[in-house]
Amino acid sequence: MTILEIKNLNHYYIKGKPVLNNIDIDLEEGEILSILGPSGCGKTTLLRIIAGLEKEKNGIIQINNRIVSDHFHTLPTEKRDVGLVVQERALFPHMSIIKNVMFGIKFNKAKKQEIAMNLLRLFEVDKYAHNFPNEISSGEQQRVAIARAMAPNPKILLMDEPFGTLDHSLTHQLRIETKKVLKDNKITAIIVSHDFDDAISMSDRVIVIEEGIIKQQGTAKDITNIVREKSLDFSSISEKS
Amino acid sequence: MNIKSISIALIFSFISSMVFANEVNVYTSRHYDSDAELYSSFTADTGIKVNIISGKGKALMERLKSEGPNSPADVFITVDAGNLWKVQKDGMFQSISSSVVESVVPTNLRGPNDEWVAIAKRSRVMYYNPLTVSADEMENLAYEHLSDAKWIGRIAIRSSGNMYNQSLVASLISNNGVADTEAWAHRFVGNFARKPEGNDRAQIMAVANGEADIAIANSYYIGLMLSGKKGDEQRAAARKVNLHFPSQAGRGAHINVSGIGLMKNSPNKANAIKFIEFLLSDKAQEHIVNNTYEYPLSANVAPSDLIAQFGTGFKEDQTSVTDYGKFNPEAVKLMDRVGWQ
Amino acid sequence: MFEKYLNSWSLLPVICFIFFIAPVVIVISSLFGDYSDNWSHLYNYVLGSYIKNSIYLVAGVLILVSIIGVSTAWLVTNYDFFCKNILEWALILPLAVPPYILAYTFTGLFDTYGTANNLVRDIFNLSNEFTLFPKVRNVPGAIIVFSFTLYPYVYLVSRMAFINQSRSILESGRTLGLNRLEVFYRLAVPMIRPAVIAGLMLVAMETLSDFGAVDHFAISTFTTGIFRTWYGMYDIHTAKQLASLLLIIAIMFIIAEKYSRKNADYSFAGSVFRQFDPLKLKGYKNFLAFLFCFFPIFIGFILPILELSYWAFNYKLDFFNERFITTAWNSFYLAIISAFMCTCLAIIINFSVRYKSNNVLKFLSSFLTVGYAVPGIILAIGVMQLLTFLDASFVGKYLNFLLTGSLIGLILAYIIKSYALASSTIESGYQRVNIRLDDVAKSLKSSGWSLLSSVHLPLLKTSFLTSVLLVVSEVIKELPATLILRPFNFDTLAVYTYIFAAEERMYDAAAPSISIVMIGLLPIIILTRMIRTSRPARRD
Repeated sequence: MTILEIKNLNHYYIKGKPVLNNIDIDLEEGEILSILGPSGCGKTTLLRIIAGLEKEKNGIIQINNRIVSDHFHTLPTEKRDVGLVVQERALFPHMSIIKNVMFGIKFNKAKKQEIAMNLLRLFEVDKYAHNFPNEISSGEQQRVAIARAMAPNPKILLMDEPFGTLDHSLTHQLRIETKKVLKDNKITAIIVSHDFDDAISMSDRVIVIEEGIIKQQGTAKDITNIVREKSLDFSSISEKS
Repeated sequence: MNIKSISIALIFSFISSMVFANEVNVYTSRHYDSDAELYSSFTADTGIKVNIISGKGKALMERLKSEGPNSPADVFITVDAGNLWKVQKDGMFQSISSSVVESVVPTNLRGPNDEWVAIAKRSRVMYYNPLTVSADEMENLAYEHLSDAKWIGRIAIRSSGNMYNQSLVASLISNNGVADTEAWAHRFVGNFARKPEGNDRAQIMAVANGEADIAIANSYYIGLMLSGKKGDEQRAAARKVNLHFPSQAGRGAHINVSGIGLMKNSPNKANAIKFIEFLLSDKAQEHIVNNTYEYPLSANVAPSDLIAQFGTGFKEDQTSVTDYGKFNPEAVKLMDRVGWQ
Repeated sequence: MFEKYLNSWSLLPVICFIFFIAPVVIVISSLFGDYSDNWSHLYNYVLGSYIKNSIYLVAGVLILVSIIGVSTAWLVTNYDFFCKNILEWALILPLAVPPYILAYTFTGLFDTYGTANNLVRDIFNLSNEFTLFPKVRNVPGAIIVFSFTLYPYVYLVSRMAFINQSRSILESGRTLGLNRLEVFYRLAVPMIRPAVIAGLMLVAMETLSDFGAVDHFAISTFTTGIFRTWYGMYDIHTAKQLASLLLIIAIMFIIAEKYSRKNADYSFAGSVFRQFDPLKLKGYKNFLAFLFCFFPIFIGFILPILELSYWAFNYKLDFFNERFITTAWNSFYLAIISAFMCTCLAIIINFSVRYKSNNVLKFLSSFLTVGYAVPGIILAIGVMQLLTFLDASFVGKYLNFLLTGSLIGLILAYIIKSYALASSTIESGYQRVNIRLDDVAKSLKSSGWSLLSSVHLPLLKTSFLTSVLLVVSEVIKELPATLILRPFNFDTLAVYTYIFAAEERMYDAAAPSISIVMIGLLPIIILTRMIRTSRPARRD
């Protein structure tokens, strides 16, 4: 089943300088998609448009066979059933870890707690349930952030440079863990990254965006091969922001 | 920002408190514009500079006390006899030996050893609406009568936080005792037309506007209102009411004073006495009665016509004004007990 | 070198601090004296109603002030609507209006025969008995007066906090199912809670210490009780004891507030910003947002100015003479000097607390902060006693001048009175300066003065200016301490206003009142300009 369908999406801040140009994306249930590109290519904007945090100039977006945005109307973020994880993690500083994860769940308190605890256990941060965000490490914070985004059981999980600020070995470990959790729970996800390894190791499919245009797409394997065959220089893509 | 001028101003203000020149230092809780004119006329006559600090009476008293022997103050002027009594009791005044004082000021309006003297008088009188209160009802009406049931919902008076009311109740305590006064106050408060609000002028306005039939307020307010200085609206209101001197068949109308005392450590004592005598001079008295509409001390000076029209020969309560101070704390507590807000 | 800093940054602030808290301690020391019989009278008859009214008053003011201050701040930081750019700074204008002046305006307008009721009667040709507006001389009336003059404290801190709030946190809230309104009250507001509480503390202290407005409305509060005991019962000792109780309650609140946010570090995760464009409001929402922000300005600023101008032009214009210029200048330079000194003191103390983790100072500083909760005149008496003590013990003997009756006393009183304003501003400014910066600076051999002047001060520029602004507007309005501590022949605008207003000669008081507001406005306008330009550009 198609979970996300984006048709002919265009966006610009200044007329004549497109940020996103004729983007078409389909995403099947349980699929993990990476959007790869250098900073400023428009990938974060695309994610924010999917989440409804920004309104595209034109195009149609469907989530779970429901039009969430087109020329005539647009559904606000909170009604789109999306989860968001950002680079800076953005945990609520005034709430404990468990409260953060419980925040988006719509059940009674006991059930909320149960779901949240399960997620924390999944990411092995359950022992910090009653700590505050500033009391745990950044890797742990990122786990909590992902758990929080998964908690309301969204149709798509959107991750914007989820491992951007973490160190190399931690990133590697977290990639494996996260992918496992996503796959085990059959979660549909989009990961936006400028890091080739992120994209390849996490996802089933990769889209490469440059200057607002989709340049390449295919399975992780395809893309790896393309890179090998054409000796594509990814150094420009991997360039740190 | 001009730092230089600030520092000059600062330095000047530090030094100025220490300069001993031909001057007199006045702490006053009277702050009328007209008083400033009066002081400059004193300077013009004598060449003595008048330095002023004005403020609330009790606060100035605290400053005097705290400054002690270092105080630069020569005289203290205040509008309530109770305050004068308190300073005198604390031993911060000294006797004023002046023949002018003796000849002008009656003894009940001076301190026991002439530590302070009155410079102007005011009476706490009644104002009534002649359309709703008959002349019969007003005949010989005394403060004590206002507890009668027939005045229910008809009386306007300001809050008990006001010192004029405190002095009035203190004078009642001095004459009738605490128990009788409390019984009276209890019923009196029950007769109020409204929760006490506003100053004395607001009470007169309430009578003029029909909110109340009778009000208690100081005598000079009617003069101020009739003078038109406060606008046509107030003049029109003042013309609608009549003034009644209370207790004419009894003790007489309650009198309070504006007074001046000579400080014990007065650094410019000679100038201070000149200043006191000046305030009691016909010229100064004339100025006071025509600007503040108080009653004069000097027999040579007549009250302003605006006040005199209501009568000048009324009977004054001879209760010593020092009693106001003595019974003031008791008066306040009594008013708390009867719920006079 | 290091040793020297160690000593000066730990010891020096404590020593200079003792000088500043001495007057407060003098007031509190009354608690250790005798208790007069007046206590049983107070206890039996009036204390209950003083406390009850004070609690109603403060609670009402805090609720209303939170609503006005926080929501207007949210509107102007997150939405774009009609006149928003003007409203954004105009919302602080009521700071220039002292509560007592708004109280006078209110009675002038809404009393039975006030301007507003007369106007209604004239327009609709109604009888004399008709009154449209409810009575204002009561607790609800006082709540309105305080709220509409004091909300800018909450508005200022909330706006600053909202601006610095991490956008991605709010966006996470949206993806977790909150709509815009829910994001506001479930995330944005709880996250700025410490800032709001700091603002509310200031409002509560100012409300508690005010005498002018409640006296004018004849409401018996704790403060009017203090004065009644002093003025009426001639018992200043008991009055001081009452004031000390007020102080101790305030100290307890301050300490409780400091410890309440021990656990969660609110400044956390606020380091990465994403500026997102304010949402443009259209149609009726546009109008409502405008109205909502305009209303507090109207009540707290425009209305009193209109009424005062009406009085002034009708009755007295000869006020603006040479004497006025001296008086205005007095108000102005005293305010500026006090504001700078007060802000510098706050910076030195906060720096010392941060740099040397000076916990003694941290504890002591709550004692100075409560200066704001003391009625000005009681504080002034503490200052006076300190000065006369110094005069008697050495200053007068060896230096040939007296501290009493000099401007030093006045400035000292102003500093103690407004230290809370400066300190809370500087403290919140410091919270936004990452402590890592200090470590880096220290590693670059910058410590003590050099750390303060080359790293902290540039980063604290906005807070510095805000603090100066708040203290200036406070000092210009300050009255009771000025009255009792000033030198001979020294007037400020507030003194002028008081002289007339105390006699309810509102027509005469109008011109100086307007001048207070206008002179108070000047630094507000200049400083908001500077604050605006000094705000560092935020990254995308």
